[in-house]
Amino acid sequence: MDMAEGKSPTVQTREVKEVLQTDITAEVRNLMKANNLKALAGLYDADFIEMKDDRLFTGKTTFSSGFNPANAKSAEGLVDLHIMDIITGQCDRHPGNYKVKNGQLKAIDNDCSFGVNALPEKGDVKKQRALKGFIPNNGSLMLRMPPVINQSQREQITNLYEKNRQALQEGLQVHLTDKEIGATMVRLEKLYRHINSSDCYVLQKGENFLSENAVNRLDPNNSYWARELMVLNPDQTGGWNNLRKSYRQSAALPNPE
Amino acid sequence: MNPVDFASYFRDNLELDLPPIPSPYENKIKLVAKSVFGSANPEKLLYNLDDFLNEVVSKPVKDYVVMGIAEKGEDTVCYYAVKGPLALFVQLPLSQKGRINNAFAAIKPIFDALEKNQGKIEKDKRLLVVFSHYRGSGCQWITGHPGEIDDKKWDPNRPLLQALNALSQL
Repeated sequence: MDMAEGKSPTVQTREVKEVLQTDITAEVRNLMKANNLKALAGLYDADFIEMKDDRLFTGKTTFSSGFNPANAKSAEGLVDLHIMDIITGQCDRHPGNYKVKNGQLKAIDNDCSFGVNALPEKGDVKKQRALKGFIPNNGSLMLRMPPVINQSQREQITNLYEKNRQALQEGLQVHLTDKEIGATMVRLEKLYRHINSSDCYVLQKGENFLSENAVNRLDPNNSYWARELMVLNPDQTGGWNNLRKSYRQSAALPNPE
Repeated sequence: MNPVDFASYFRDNLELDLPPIPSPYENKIKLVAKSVFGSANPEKLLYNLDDFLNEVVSKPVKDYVVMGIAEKGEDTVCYYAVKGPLALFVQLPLSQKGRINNAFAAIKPIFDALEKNQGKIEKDKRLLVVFSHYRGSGCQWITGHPGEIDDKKWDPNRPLLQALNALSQL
């Protein structure tokens, strides 16, 4: 996938926190006495540990996928990826599954695509669980429909739905079951209806994905770009586990089925 | 492959610290599949953590330890151990060597706490610990088979610390 132009920066945030004295258990204190910094870092999942007297400090450095949030072309590339993920039902698109390097966006690990349950009418796909409820935070990372697209993306989706649906189905028959193809067609139809509804804004001449009209419509539940910003926020340094947790706790989402 | 080769693989090939080996497997680790060392062949792909979790949650499982590389997308270091009432699963990208080494170091006191306090754990209870860069993390006591996890109490932060506290504060 060759979508985005421009050099991507190394984006890094760093946060240091002191562990409350009341939270330091006897076992942790023993490790502090033994100066076992590695074990302490492992327990706190910290990138670095500092001890001053009997005080313990943990630090976390967070890196993004390399995506430059100020690059409109990269933002456009992530919308392309979002559209593809909607059609294919890819529910595992965390930033480890795409990289921005030297201006190119590469998507990898697409094996969670084409699931028959990745259907919007079955409730929010983030609520579905790979382990039938055993492990709560295995929620899908599939986003809601893109609230902003450009004219080219609109034309491509329209062409695919109105003129090439049959060809798409035939092409997929080699690889997928009838149910999987059926689910793909449902997702495509929903996407098509979405881009022709008032819920989807099509960029006007002179606008790009960083224009005010676009950005105001984005949030981490409907945009990879907004999701990246959320992860870059120092308050969200818990990484993807926290991201999944925040999805689950979002009041805007329906309850789990 | 003998234990020396196992050590060499982690130290020289992967440039990692040695993973902790729970008793009684200290000198019994062997090559059990491609890039996988352990007490026995898991007969499952390490990358598919869900398969291991489903198994340990749904039915009694004999003790084992397996570790190695899952090659898919990006190279991933997996360390899975079931020892009595403890089921511990770590899955981190090989590119995060420091984080992996720290996790290995943190597992040792968890095993120590288990050994010290295992007698206090109720017969049907076991502690599920998941620390995965890809599939989410958490730690919780589960009871019976299949076990059930309380969604509201599942905390994805610092699962290894949660595990140490759970096994120490019985």
